[in-house]
Amino acid sequence: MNLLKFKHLSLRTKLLSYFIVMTVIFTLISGVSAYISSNQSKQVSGMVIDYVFLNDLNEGIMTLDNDVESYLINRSSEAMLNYYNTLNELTLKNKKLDKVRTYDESEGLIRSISFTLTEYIGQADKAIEAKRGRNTQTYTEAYGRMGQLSKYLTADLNELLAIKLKEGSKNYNLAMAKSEAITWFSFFLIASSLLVGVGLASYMTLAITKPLDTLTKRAERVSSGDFDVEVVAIETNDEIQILADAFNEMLKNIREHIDYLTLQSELENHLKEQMMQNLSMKSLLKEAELKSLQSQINPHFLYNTLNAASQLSMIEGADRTSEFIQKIAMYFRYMLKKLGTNVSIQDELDNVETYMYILKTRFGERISYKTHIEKHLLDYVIPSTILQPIVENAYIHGLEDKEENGLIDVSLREEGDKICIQIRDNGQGMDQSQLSSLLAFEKDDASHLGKNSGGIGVQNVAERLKIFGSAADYNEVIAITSELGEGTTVFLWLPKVKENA
Amino acid sequence: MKKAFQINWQWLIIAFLLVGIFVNNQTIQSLNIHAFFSKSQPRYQLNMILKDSQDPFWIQFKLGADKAANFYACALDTTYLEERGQAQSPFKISELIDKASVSGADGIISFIMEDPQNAQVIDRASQADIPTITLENDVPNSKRASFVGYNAFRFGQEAAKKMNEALAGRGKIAIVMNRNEVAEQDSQNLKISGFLNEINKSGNITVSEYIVSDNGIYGTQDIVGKLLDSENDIDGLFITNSVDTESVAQLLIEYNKVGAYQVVGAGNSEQIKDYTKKRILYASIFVNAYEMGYQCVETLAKIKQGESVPSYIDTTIGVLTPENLFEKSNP
Repeated sequence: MNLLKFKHLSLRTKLLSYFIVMTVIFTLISGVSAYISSNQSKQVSGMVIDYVFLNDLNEGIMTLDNDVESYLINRSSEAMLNYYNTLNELTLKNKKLDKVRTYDESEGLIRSISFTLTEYIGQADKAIEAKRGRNTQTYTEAYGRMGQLSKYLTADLNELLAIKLKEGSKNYNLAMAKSEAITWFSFFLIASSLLVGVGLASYMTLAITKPLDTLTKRAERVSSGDFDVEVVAIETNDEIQILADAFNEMLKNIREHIDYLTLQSELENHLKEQMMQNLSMKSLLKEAELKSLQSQINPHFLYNTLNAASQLSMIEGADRTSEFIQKIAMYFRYMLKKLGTNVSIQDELDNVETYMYILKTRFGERISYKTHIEKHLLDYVIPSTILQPIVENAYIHGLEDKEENGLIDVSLREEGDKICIQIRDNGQGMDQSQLSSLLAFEKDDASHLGKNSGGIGVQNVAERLKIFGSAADYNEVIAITSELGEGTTVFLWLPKVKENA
Repeated sequence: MKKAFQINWQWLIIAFLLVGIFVNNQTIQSLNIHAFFSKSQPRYQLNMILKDSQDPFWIQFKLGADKAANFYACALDTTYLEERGQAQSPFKISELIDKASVSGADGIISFIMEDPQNAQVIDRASQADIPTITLENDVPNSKRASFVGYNAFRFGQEAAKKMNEALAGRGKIAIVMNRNEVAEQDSQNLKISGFLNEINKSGNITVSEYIVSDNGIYGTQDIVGKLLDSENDIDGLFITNSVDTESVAQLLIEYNKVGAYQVVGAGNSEQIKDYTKKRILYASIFVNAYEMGYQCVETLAKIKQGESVPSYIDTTIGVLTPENLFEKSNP
């Protein structure tokens, strides 16, 4: 039996096969038992029939002999009637005897008896006919011959009976041995059918319940919220496999749905994060704007006034004063108009230069301003008012007390996919603790160290750069190095963003 | 726990089948199912009447007859007159032939002993188209189909030659025969005549005693035993049949008389060959019984097939001596 093929039958076919197999087995057992019993019974009855038949035959021969003798003596019609009755019976019996040539000893004797009996009946008939014809010599001879033939028949019958008895005894012993063998055979049949039945039942039960059990356990895990269960691999090719396939499909659909929901959730989170960043940026800008307004009390008034002063100075021929006032007006205009927008690096550097012109005019030649610019970077965008607060810090904290040769050096260069702006001064510098305080942006209290006298603090600059560059950490957008007595250098890193992007 | 249920079903089924085959084989043997397969029907049903079921000669004869019967598809119904010299059948030879002729036999092979009814029953069988082959003794005045036998006179002559050789032409001898042999007048007389005819040529060997048992081999053992146990001047024994030859050889061993008598016996059974090899017997004259048996059935089968057969078939006479036996065993 190909169990692999059996595995791929439908559940109904499996169950049907099981019941058919069991029915066939039990029918076979019953059939074999019935056949054996019938065979045994036939053998025993066959033996008895043989004995009875041979005995009847012997008696018939003796009766015929008596009937013939009786007729020969008294020639009565009754004797004649008896004779014919016995003759008919004997003839019928003789017809039942096989006359076919044979190798078998007892069958050979039966054949011999049959032929001799035919001769015997012939002689009896001859004797009766001779008696009726009053032919004394013939019936005497015939009757004498009958006697001789009767001796032969008796001898053969006795020999046959002896053989039959011998065979009967042998058959009896054989039957006894057979009976034992049959008992064992029956025992084997019952035991094997029991084992086959139990085996098949176990197999069938396991074949059906095992995949169902697996399916149930997986389903329980899924129902308890564990969607990471393995796919149920069932290849029974029956209804259970259909169920398992449906379960796997359902599991796959649930997983896909969950993945979709997770993705949506992540997107929402990202969106919220961005919104938060925007809010934060707005907050910072507002703070910067506030600072700016605080420092300029009424910037529009001041700006208009400065313009009027510049024109007046020009009318009066004071050109340098006019230019100075004009620069101050430009500075304030930039601070007012550009705050909260992104500007090109060129604009931002121009504003720094305006600021430096103002400082130079105020403090003479003790502070010089230098730039090292990679010009192809000037069109990239930067949040406005980033550089001026740093330069202002460099002046206030680094160079204010320096009597001469103060230097602020701004350089712009490309570093990989980023733009680096370096603001260096050769002022008094900071010790390590001051530097650490300055860099502690996340602590609100420490931000005052980064503030200039009335402007925007380093923290504000760093926060806006972080948001602008989508950086995870301040270190990615700003770094400060300083040495006491040697000066301070601030590094700013920007992403390469074009104005139209 | 799960592992326990993972049974290898293929192996389990094979084990079941093996046990089943074993049990069924036992059952089939005890049910004798092979009996269902029997031989096909024979062409001829032959009736064979032989002398002694235990006589090595007739045992060999039967083997030869069976071989031929198998070859010619004949069924052989055999009747023995004696068993170890004791009467076995309630019928005389003539009655047995008569019985066979009315029992549907296609042919009869019969050992013949002196009986005046022999010719009559053989003729009656012949009239019923049942051919009869006579054995050992012929029934010349009958319609027997053929006689298969040997030249009993020459048998006696060969025995006398060996006796003469054994006694170097001088001495007294006894001839051992049994009652039934006496009844086989023709064959018996011819054997004795041939022996006396030849032995008389020496002039100095005389037959001083005829030992005739009337009670089968037990009678022979009794008479010969007494002879061996007594004071006598017998130098040699001529035994005319194989049963007595085996019996006398055994007596010589028992009485420690091996070598005291020169014995010429009859027959070629394995026992007689062994006695001859050991020189308990000087020689043994034999007729090839196997060949004789084969020839009888073959002749009858040929008659039934319409072939003509000779009316007398002579079977070879042979002489067993220690020398020719050793030659055969050490070619």
